[in-house]
Amino acid sequence: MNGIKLRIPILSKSNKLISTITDFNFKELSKFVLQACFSLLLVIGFSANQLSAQERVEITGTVIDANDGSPLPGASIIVQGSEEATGSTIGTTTDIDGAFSLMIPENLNTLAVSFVGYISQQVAIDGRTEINIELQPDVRTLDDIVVVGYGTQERQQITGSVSSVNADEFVKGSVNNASELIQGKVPGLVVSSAAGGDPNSNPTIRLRGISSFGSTQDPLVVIDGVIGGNLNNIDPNDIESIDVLKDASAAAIYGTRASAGVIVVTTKSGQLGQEQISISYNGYGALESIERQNDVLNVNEYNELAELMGIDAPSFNSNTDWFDEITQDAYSHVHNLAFSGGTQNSFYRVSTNFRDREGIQRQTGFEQLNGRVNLTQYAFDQKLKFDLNIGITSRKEDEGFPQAFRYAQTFNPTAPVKVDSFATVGNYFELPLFDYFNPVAIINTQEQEEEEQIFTGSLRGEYEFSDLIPGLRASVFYSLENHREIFRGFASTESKQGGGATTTAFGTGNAYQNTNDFQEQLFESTLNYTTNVQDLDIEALAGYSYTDIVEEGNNISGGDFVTDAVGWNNLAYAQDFNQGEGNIGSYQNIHKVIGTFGRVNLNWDNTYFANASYRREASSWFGEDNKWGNFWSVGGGVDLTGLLNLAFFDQLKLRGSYGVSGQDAPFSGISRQRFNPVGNFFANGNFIQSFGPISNPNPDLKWEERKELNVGVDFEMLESRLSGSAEYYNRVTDDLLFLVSVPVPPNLFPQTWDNIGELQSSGVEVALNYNVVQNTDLNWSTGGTFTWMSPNILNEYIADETQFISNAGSPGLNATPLIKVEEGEPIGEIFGKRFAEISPEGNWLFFDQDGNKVTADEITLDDQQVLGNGLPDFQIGWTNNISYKNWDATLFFQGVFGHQLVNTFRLFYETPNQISSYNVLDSAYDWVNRGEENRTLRESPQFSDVYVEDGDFVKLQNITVGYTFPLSQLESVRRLRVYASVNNAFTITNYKGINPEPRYVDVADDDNPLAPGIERRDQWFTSRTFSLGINLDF
Amino acid sequence: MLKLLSYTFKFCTILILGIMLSIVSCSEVTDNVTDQVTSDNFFQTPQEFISAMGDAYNPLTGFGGDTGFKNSNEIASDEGVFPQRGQDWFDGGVWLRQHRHTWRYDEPHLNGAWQQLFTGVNNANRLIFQFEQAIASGGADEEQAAAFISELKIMRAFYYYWLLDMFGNVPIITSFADAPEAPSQPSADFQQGRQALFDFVEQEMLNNIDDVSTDVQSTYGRANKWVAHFILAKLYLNAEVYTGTARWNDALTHLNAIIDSGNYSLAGNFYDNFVTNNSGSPEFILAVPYDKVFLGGFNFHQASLHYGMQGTFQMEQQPWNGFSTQAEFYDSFINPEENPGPQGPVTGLMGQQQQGTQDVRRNSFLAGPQLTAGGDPVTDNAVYSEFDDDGPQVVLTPTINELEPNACRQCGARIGKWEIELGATASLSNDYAIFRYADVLLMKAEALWQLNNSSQEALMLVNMIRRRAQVDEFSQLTADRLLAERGREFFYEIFRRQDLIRFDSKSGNATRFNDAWWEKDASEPWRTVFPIPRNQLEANPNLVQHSNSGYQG
Repeated sequence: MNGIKLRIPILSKSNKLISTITDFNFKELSKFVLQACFSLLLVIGFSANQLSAQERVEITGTVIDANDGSPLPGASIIVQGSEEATGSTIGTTTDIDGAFSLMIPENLNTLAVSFVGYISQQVAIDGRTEINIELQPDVRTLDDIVVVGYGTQERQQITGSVSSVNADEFVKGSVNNASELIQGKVPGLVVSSAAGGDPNSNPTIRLRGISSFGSTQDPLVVIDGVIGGNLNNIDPNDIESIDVLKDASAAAIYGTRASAGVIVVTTKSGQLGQEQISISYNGYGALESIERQNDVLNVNEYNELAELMGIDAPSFNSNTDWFDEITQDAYSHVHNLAFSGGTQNSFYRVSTNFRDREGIQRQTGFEQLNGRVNLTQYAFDQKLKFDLNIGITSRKEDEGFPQAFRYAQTFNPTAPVKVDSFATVGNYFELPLFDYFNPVAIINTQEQEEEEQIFTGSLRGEYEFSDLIPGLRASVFYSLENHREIFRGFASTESKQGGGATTTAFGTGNAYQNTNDFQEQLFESTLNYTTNVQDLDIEALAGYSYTDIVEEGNNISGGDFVTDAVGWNNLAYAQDFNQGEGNIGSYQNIHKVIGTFGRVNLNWDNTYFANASYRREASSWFGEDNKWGNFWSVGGGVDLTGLLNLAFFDQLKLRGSYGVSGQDAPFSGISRQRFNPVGNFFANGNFIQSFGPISNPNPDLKWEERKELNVGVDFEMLESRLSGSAEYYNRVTDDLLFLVSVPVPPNLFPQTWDNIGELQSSGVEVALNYNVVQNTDLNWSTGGTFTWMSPNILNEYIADETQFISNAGSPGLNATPLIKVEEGEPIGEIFGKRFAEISPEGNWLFFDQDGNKVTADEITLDDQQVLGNGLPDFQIGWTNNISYKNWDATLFFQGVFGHQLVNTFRLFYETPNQISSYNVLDSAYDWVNRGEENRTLRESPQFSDVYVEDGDFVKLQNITVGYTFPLSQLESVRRLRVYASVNNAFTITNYKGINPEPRYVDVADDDNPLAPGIERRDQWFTSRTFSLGINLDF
Repeated sequence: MLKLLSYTFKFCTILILGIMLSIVSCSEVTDNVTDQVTSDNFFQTPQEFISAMGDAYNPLTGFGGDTGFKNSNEIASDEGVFPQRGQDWFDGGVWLRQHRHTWRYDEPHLNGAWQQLFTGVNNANRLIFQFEQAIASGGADEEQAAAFISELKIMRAFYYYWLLDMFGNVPIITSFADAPEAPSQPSADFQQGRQALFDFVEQEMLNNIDDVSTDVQSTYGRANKWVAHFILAKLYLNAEVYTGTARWNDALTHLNAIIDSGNYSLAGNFYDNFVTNNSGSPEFILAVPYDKVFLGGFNFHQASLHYGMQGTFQMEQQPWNGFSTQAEFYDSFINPEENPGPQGPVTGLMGQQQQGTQDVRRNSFLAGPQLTAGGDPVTDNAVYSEFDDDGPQVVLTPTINELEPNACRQCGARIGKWEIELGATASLSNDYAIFRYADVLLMKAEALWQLNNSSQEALMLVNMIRRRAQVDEFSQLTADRLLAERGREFFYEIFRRQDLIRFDSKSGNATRFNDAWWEKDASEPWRTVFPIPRNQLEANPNLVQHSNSGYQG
């Protein structure tokens, strides 16, 4: 038996020292395993204490990267044959400077040097006492370790769809949220900054489109093993890598919470043996300004259009740019300070992060303080290992008012901001019109803030039974996550919008405080077993998982204040409560999830790979008769490189997998018959609360189920300069959870939550990387991700009934649904009339189904049709990394194509006769003297295909240029780099609205996922950020 | 090494035991609902039963304000209109179609009306079922529960009466326990026709009328015997419309029962019925006891008043400048030809001061120049048409320049019938009478007049109403006079559409309702019932659209 390779299981990506790939030649398998375990332990820990009586020679040296000469701290050096000669393995690891020293028995002559990501070497000592070793980077195994559910795997062995993004590949520049780091970097993953420049909004994350309607469409987040972790409790600076489990087979191990995919975050840690403390500081200052906005008429244009239309538009003899009045150039600064270090038996990393960001709306922004401690301690010859991870975040947000942007568009440009009269509204100029508020007054007479504190702590104990049952590891894991949010709002008695003030009387004012408290406890225990039978490597995992979540909170709101002095701080000042008018509520929501799971990975001769996983899981939110669900996956792969003589390929691997993952129900009590007060009842001269049913029981209620087939190919060619992967998936999600209309009787309530609905989609994802130039001074690599997604077909829906949802809204566009939902059709269908022309009288004419031009009055449902779809079908991300000597540059483009958006700004504020009430968009001119016949639109807004626009866009998401100062290794500063960066530099699009990003939910319809593709009017402008930063390592 | 092994074993044992323990102890996954009542812990005390009854009355909160039920009736009649005021109130053309009698089967407000009424039917059915279950299981006193059940049956018939009136032919569902196994299976007797529905409402009322309370005080806001009599009277009064057979004498029987009970009388002042503290008016037979805190929904002031009139009543929220009355309807109050009476200054059709009839009921409208609570003019700077020539001051002109697209913002007389208290919230606290004693008198007059055109008693009854309004008495009655008097007395009290349908056309159409009026052409006879809404047809394959109608579906 020659050439057996042993793979010591790799505990975690950050734990590079105890992973190694070494070749051995032994006769007995068991002995071999034992030996290896011992060798490893001794190498890491205690070799120095196991000295025998033999004569020894001290050898010193360094291990460096053969390419750039940088030291490699933590490389492993083992003296070949030392075990046979002395009874114990002699070895060591390099320190922070890559240096080592060893006492070597005289009769031994070979050192085995290895380091993850580099090609291992055997070096003959040949009597030398100082040996400097250069390791060649192993291109094939670089970035080779992939974090999967409950462990890591080598990239080569992966059979499902997993994308890894490491810290050096993250989106650069001003990044405020972990999800922004991987925007455009993972094919199939869309991170949509639909909220524009809102500093307090998180991007929407969708994996492979929409695959769930259950509790959430957001992917499950796992942070250092904490399932359901909170991305807001992790500063982007502390993240080592983000791995995305895209298909159902990769995600199946997470059972009922995995249908929307899984994002696994690994934080940075220290290193074993890193005795010199490493200190690094990263900081930047940024300036943020408006990138895209809607253009409205200025005073001159306003007067001109009014004259053209023959409308005596109201004029107030001022000249106000309302956008200027409510926006600002926003400054931010961000600081990250991290310490890390280690001993022979422990390592740690401690970091603190501070962010102070202003928003482009005046008086908005946030301050955030975040701390993280990652600590690992070994004991018992490194058989026992403890991990402690703690993250704490405290954040305070000034939320601002998105509607101020909307009213800045519609408010009269001839109106002054303030006048002497109107004392009751704080001298802010106001007009008695529907849906009309002075935008400056909105932001100055009202306030909204959110405070949050997040704590996550986790503890893991792990034991290797290397003497008892070689290859067996057991671990227990406990985590606690606490998330407390307080929302506060206040509208003064001078506020027209929120406080009820008029131009003649003070209002009542209003204040609220809402508190949410979220606590999740997770307990897990796992067993890992690794062994091999001849050429077959076997890894097995079994585990148990228990989650307990309690969410509770209360909310208070009331008005009628005598004085504005206390704001939200003393709600007893709200006289509403004296009159029984204030609102008070509280809630509690309990959730338990229990699962057992297992997985087997097989690797035959590094050529054939197979794996299977299984999770059986129960959720308290399922119906009584359907508590337990089974989720599983199988996958296989073959590395053709070794099998065939492939002229073009340095590597070629095929893989395929199939899996079933689930999605939990959305809330407690969903399957139960519940009663709630539904009003009051006047009985015998008094009001009493009237209880009525608010749900029907559904004991069969269960999880949503996502079934997915995934096939892919990974390849490298041109001497590994070109690498990439391509994959295809086909997915069916059934048992979708919907609130279904049911007859009363037999039901007590007209709606029941049921598993009814099926969604189908497929797609192709391609990732390519090419090293265009590779030489000492100049390096240029380019990489692209390409995602094609089919429409999401709603194969089965709650009824045959066609639904028309997402009303355009007031003023004047009620009873105007924008979206059609129909069985057998894709979701996200924008539906409405087709514009034909303006009639000679200035009225709208639309096409009926026979192509005749008719008035709106004559249009029926049958004349209307699908005008677009809100979901994208193609996406690209294109990264360029260029370095020249000490200079480096990154350019990152992102593009999303094929989706349409309803531009509601134009729908509401583009018809020219509205100038009698509102200011209108510049494009209102397009409707005056239009076409050859010079027709002018004189009717009010009507929804039609005129307002359905392509959302295709390409944007330069980031451009960064950096310079690293050349420093001698002797100086205390090890690295100094400065950089300049622009985020959201420019956007190329034909979309006329503010933000062409896809909208995955309708924010005006309770975040309805069935109604994507609508840009609503309360929309932040998008922003562009310039930043200057520094990276400093000691 | 031994020490290490023993540690290993200890650790191992603890680990395995821990895992086993955790599996045993943590496999309980019952859904603990802690902040809501479930069927496990409700329906156990008498208080909980009474509380549950409230659900049968909940849909009544949609009778006073801006709801699908209310607007379907009001806008289809000649007393109300939502003109399209430029940008505002187009709303997909639904209100224009409602005004012009060109509504379609997929109008959201018609579906809303259907749902509101069937919610009442369903809630009553459910509660009857739950009470019967409670009786069977010994959880409720049988005698006490029986009274509740009769009350619920009266309320169910009340909702069916409105379904009969608006939609004509709807399925009659009375049982919870015996509900069809598969309600989606077509069945021949699902919609049994308008006659069957009429018979059902009649029978239910007659069967239960003697089992409900006769006490007026303790049943305020609830169905008592007199409510049942009133519904029967309405049913018989309109019997010819519903079934083709007039039942005037039967109507008189039940109207007399109410009159003879002596429980009710006309309030001395017309507005006693409409002020904020109107609760307990001697005229109220069935009232919705609206309250701004406890029972919201009375919000006509939000839907009707001009934006600037927020300052007139210091309302918490800005009103929406919508619901107005038609000029012709307004004119029927002040025009001495139609409504003879003492002459004096009134607001004319163009908002100007002029001479006209001093009917106290003309203050059912807000018209003319509007002032803030402080006495300053209400202003609106946006100018549309010649109707706003007097500048920014808001002068409500009963005449509306056009229905669409640019009805001027100050056009249309607004609702002022109910007192709007200073500092009003979005919901008012005035109670809203669905059934009022004045209607008993006018219904009786009409029935008597139908039987005998020269009935002196009929004339006397109408003149009772006119005397209170401080206008001249009539010396004889005509159909026009009866209808117009009802219009003046019951503006915005829902019955106008029904009344128009009951009176014969003046110009050869099916009914008065189908006649042409302002910005409306004569409508087809089948418009007297509303279509079965599209959502209902699609949700329930059993349902069919009215035959012999032009409605889609």
